[in-house]
Amino acid sequence: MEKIFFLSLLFAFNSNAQEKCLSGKTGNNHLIDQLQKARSESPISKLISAKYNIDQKTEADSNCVDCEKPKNKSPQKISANQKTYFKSECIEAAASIQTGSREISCPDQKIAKHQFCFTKSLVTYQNAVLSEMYKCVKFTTGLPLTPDGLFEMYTLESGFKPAYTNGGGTGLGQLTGIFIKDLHQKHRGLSTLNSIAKSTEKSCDAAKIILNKDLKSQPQFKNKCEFTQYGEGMERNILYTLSGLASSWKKDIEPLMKDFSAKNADNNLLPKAQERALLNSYGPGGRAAARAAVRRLSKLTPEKFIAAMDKPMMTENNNNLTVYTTRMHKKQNIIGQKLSGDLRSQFNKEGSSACTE
Amino acid sequence: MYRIIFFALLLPLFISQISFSSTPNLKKQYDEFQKTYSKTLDLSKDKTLFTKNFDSNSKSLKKKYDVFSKTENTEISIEGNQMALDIEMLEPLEFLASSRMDKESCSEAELLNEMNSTSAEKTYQKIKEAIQTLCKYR
Repeated sequence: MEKIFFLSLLFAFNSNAQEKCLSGKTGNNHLIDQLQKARSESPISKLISAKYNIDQKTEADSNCVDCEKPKNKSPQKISANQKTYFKSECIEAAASIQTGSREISCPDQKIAKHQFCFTKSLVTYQNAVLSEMYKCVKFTTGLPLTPDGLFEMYTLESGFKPAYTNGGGTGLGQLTGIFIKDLHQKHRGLSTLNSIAKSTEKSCDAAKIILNKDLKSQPQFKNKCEFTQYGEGMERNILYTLSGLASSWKKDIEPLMKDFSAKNADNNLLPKAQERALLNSYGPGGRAAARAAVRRLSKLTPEKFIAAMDKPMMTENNNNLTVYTTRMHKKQNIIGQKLSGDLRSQFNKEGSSACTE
Repeated sequence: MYRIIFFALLLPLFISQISFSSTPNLKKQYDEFQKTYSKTLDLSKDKTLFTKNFDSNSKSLKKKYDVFSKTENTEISIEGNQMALDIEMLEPLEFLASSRMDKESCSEAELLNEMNSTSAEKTYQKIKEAIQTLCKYR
C-alpha cells in the first residue's frame, strides 16, 4: 500500500515537472533533452544562457504545467541587462501553428514525423539566441530589418521550431544548400561573414565561436544537424539567416533601391519599404523575382510600395514576384487569431510590431 | 445643369479613350522587348557574338523597359512585371559577359542562375544551357 502511495506521489511529481507542449506529443522530449545537453556542454549555449539568465527562468517554469500566459503587455525581461526582442506569447502562438511535418532527430539524423514536444523553455532559449544574433548582425552590417519583420519571417518559415526539414529547407530559417553556398562565396556573402567574425561587438561573441570554426571549414549542408541541433546547429541557422539577409541587402537589393531611397529619404515609411523588399528576397520566389519586384515598385511612393508588396504581383507567364511577402502577410492574420486579450487587440491594430519591443 | 450631366457622361469616355490609345503602344513596346530578349538569349550559341553584342543588347532591353515603365506611369501591368523579371533573369549572363569567362566566373554565373531557379523556371533552364555552352571548354 505504501509503495503505491509513493509511486503515485512520484508520478504526480514527474507529471508536474513535465512542461506542457506548445506543439508535438507530450513525453516526446528529444528537443528538451537536446537543449539540456547543449546547456551543459556547448560554449555557445552556456554563453547565451548566462547572458540572458535563462537558468533561473527555466527552473521557475519547470514546475509549471498549465501556467497562465503573462498578462503584462511589455516584452519579457529575462535579466536586468539583456532583454529579448520577441514577446513569448507571440512565439508560442507561432509555434502552435504547424508549418511542416517531417523533423530531424540529432545526432542520428533520422528524418520522420517525430512530433517533438516544443515547450516554453525552448521558446525562452530561442528568443535569447535570436535576440543575441540579431543584435550582432544588425550592429555589424546595418541590416535594415526590424524585429517585427524577423518575427513575421520566422512565423512563416518554421513557427520558430528548430527541427523541421523537407526537400527544400532545414531548421528554424528553412535554409537551403544554395543559400549556404552563396553565403560562403568570395564575391557574395563571405565578406559579411568575415566582418561578423572580426566584430568587436559583445553580442557577437557567440556568433564568433561559430564563424571561427566555419571560416576554416565550411559546414556541410548534407549534415542537417549542423543547422538544427541545439548547441551550435540551431544557433548557426539563425546566424546564417541573418548574415544571408545582410549579404542579400548589400549585393542584391540596396543597389537597386538606391534612387528610390535617395528620393524618399525623408519619408518615414522608407525603412519599411526597404525591409519588405529585403524579406521578399529571402523566400522561395528566388532572387530575380525579388529584384524584379523592386524594379517595378520603385516608381511608386513608399506607402504604395509597401501595400503592393503584400499582394501577388503576377507576370505575363504567371510567375508571382511577391510570393514570400504575400505569404507572410497571410500568415500574420492567423497569428492574430491565436493571441488573446489585450495583446490580440494590439496585434489586430498594429500587426507584428505588437509582438516585439 | 445639362452641361454638368453632359461632362459627367463624357469624362469616363474620355478617360477610357486615353487608356485605350496607350494600350496598343504598350503592347507594341512589349512585343519589341520580347523579340530583342529572344535574340539576346540566342547570342549565347556563339561565344564571339555573345562577347561582342551581349552588353549592347542588355542595355537596349533596359532602355526599352524604362520607356515602357514611363508610359504606363504608376500602373503596374503584368507585361511590365514580365519585362522586369526577364531583365533580372539575364543577370548571370551579364556577369559572365563582363568577366574573363574563366572557371571561377563560370561557376559564379551558375550559382547566380541557381538562385533564380524558382523565379522563372523556363528562362532559368535556357540560361543554364547558355552558361554551359559559353563555358564549354571547362
